[in-house]
This record gives sequence, structure tokens and C-alpha cells, in this order.
Amino acid sequence: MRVVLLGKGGSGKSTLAALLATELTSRGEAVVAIDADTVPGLAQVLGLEPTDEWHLANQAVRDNGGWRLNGTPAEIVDRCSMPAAGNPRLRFLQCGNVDADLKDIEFRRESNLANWSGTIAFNSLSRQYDDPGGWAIVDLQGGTLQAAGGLAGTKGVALLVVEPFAKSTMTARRFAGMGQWPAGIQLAAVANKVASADEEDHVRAALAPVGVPVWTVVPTDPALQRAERDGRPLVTVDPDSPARRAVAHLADRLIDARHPAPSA
Amino acid sequence: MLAALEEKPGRVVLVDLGGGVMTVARGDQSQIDTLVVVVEPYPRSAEVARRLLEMAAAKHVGRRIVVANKVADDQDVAFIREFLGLEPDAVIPVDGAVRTADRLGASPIDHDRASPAVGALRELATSLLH
Amino acid sequence: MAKIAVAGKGGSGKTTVAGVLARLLAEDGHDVLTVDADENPNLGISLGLGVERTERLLGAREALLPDGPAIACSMEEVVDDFAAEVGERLRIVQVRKFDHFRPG
Repeated sequence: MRVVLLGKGGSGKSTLAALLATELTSRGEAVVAIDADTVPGLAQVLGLEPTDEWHLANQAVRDNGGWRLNGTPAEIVDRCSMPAAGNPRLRFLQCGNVDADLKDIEFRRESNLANWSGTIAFNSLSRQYDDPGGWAIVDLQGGTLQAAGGLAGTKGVALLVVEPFAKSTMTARRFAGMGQWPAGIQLAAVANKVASADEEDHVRAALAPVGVPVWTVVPTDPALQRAERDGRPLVTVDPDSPARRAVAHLADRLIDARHPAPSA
Repeated sequence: MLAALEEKPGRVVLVDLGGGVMTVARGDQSQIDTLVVVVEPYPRSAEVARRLLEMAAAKHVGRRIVVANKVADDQDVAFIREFLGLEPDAVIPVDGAVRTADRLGASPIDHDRASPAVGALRELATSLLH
Repeated sequence: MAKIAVAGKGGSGKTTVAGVLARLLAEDGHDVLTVDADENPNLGISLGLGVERTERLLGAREALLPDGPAIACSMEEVVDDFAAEVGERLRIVQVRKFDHFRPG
């Protein structure tokens, strides 16, 4: 099943993506984690070697004036994703390759075909890749741009990550108001970095008018904050810490959503 | 737009470029004379800042200012200093009043003008345009 | 005339910094034009406009293009049409209205 994380920049998408991937793999689930941000970040919190290598170069090819993928999404992910050292159930795929070196910054220009094809391939995979027997967790870039471009795909769960701040709730309402979401997508919210019952109420009240249910409330968590500041992988945070327990609850909700109980 | 605006003495144009690197990466920055890079004391924020600063230098943006934000202690400043290889031009402390203003959808300057963060920004404003 | 841009990772506080700086510079007597170029704009909140007024800001993007209305009149006039007054000597032009789903 696909789980796509959306939200304002800085709301905690990458952190939650990493915690969720860790939680699901610890339950024996196979996970492919995909970082759609132009600057690599998810790799670092997963404890993977951050890389700027362009794994997807030439995975889309020119075809009659358009493009086609150089294989099925599953084949390409199999071929190009990185295994996670120390976690045999986790694989990782990265979009970002924008480097300070200007020649790489021009990666979207068609004259730089290898990089342009990589972008096309990446966008297709973000939209389409799914693993019926496992999980695809797609960590989209902050903001509405990628979602508006369809990178959230057409099925699975789109998780809006929302902090108890006006800018974050305003952004969440924008996502809900972007237009007609594909019928196969379930839009749900995670209230993140919540410090009090008042803050939780604030998030719920902001999302109720747009009909997005809050599936999990993740509290502020000093141990998690320390790990982030130290640059330590989040798997080093005690599984009993408040945020990790909340993510365990989120994993329960997502597993239910994958195989919904038959109606009576 | 920036190129077409009238040159008026005493006028300041201040642009919020949005999060991430793409606006600076794609854009021609020749109209900008100062780039202010805001960075938090943790690796992922500092990596974006590092790339922004290098791009700005490569695109000949005359002045590059680094603002360390949500700083809790000296260790935080040291982290930024080491990661970016420079001394931040301004240090804004973690400030509960800013968090409250954010929750209320208000500007920190309206919510609590005397708060430490606003104080630090007051100093930065002065040094930006002397 | 100073042209200052503010950037940083999403969530770093860049918009808060930009908004408070703009307010301070306007108080100092400068004539401040702020431009929100974020595709998910919320500078209005940091300037003190509040959520409702910020949500109602127009998107000026098409009007600012070199082959847009600025052909017939000056860029200043285009900015005047789209800018919202925040206070004395302080205005905001919001470039993007947030994205809706793009077809295709």
C-alpha cells in the first residue's frame, strides 16, 4: 500500500516517514521509502548514508516525442533503490540531486538528458509505485507543488502532517481544497509536535470544516528532538518515547486501512 | 518584476523566496543584493543552508547573511559554525512568545514586541541597512 | 534601493524572519514592499495581517510576467493594483495563489 506524506515545510514529514518505515519493518513488513525532496534529508534520519548519486538517470527513455519508463515501476525500484544496511526489509529511493555545483543545478534542462530523464522517471515512480505485499512510503517536498502535480498518485493514504500553528493548519486546508482528490485516495491527518490538549483541539478544529479526520496525535518529544539535533538516526530513539508510541498507533491505523474490515 | 521597479531612495524590497533550494537554483539572482539564509541548528536545515550559500556565491549575490534561528544554547551556535564554516551574522534564540504567536496566527512583533527573538531581529534590521 | 531575499529550509523560520524584519524596517521609516514568492504563501501572517486577510490575498503572478499587463502600463502600476496595504509604508505582493491540481 502507498502512504504519501504531505504538509507545510518543517511540519515533520520526513521524521514521521522515517519513524513509520522503522515501525513497519520492525513488524516484518517490507517497505520502500522514497524521498521526493530536492535536497536529501530522509536518508539521514533513517541512518542511511546520505547520497547525491543520481540512481534514476536514464530510467525514462524518449518514445515518439514523449517519455516512457525503462521498465515497470517495480522493476525500476528493484534496480535502482538502495538497500538499507542493517534493515533487510527496508529499501530507499532518492530524488534529490541538486548540488551546489552549478552544472548539476541545471538538471531540469533538456540538454542534460540523463538528469532530465531521471526527473521524469522519479515523478512517475512517485505517482505509481506500489507494492501490494508491502509498503511504499513517499515523503513529498514541503508545500503543495508536488501534490498539485499528481505525485501523490491515485490510491492509498495521503497523510497531511499538521502542526498546531496557523501557517500549518492554513496549509492543510489548502491541501483539502486543492480540488477533486482521486477516488482511490484516503485523505487523513496526523497532528504533529502537539504540546497540549489545547493544541490538539486547535488542529482538530481547523481540519473539521474540511472533513479531514485526524488519525493520530504525535506529541512533542524531547528525546526525538535531541536525536534530530545530534543528527542521530531516529531508530536510536527509545521505542517507548511518546512520538514512537504515537507512530505505532498510526501504523495500526494504516494496517487497518490496507485491509479494511468487511462491512457487516 | 524586480528589474522593472522604480529606484526610489528609502525603498526596500523584501522577498520571501519560499522553502528549499529550487527558487534560488533556477532563478537569476542578479536583482538581489542581499540574501538572508535562515538556518536551524540541525543537519538537515544546515545542509539546505549550505547549498543556498554556495549557489548564492556562484550567482554573485553581493551579500550573504546567515541567521541562526531557534537557538537553545552555545552548542547550537557551535554546530552551525562548524557545519557552515562561518560565524552566523545573527542569532535568534528559542522563544516561547514566537511559538504562541505562531499558534494564534499573529506576528511576533504584535504579540510580544519585547520578546528576545524580536529583540534579535531588531539588531539584524539595523545592521542590514546602515 | 535595497533588494533583500530571504531563504532557508521549510520550517526554519524564514517567513517569520522576513515578516518581522519588514515590520521593523517600515517602522524605521523605509518604504517597504514585501513579495511573497512562496508557492504556499503565508508571509501575510508574519506581517500581522491575520489568517483571513492572508487567505484573501490575490495572486499576482500572471500580471507580473514581462508580457503581461506591464506592457501597457508600468510595473509600478501593476504592483499598485495587486499590493495589499499592511500599514504605513508597508505593502505585500503575493505572487502565487496556492496550487490546485494541474491537469495531465
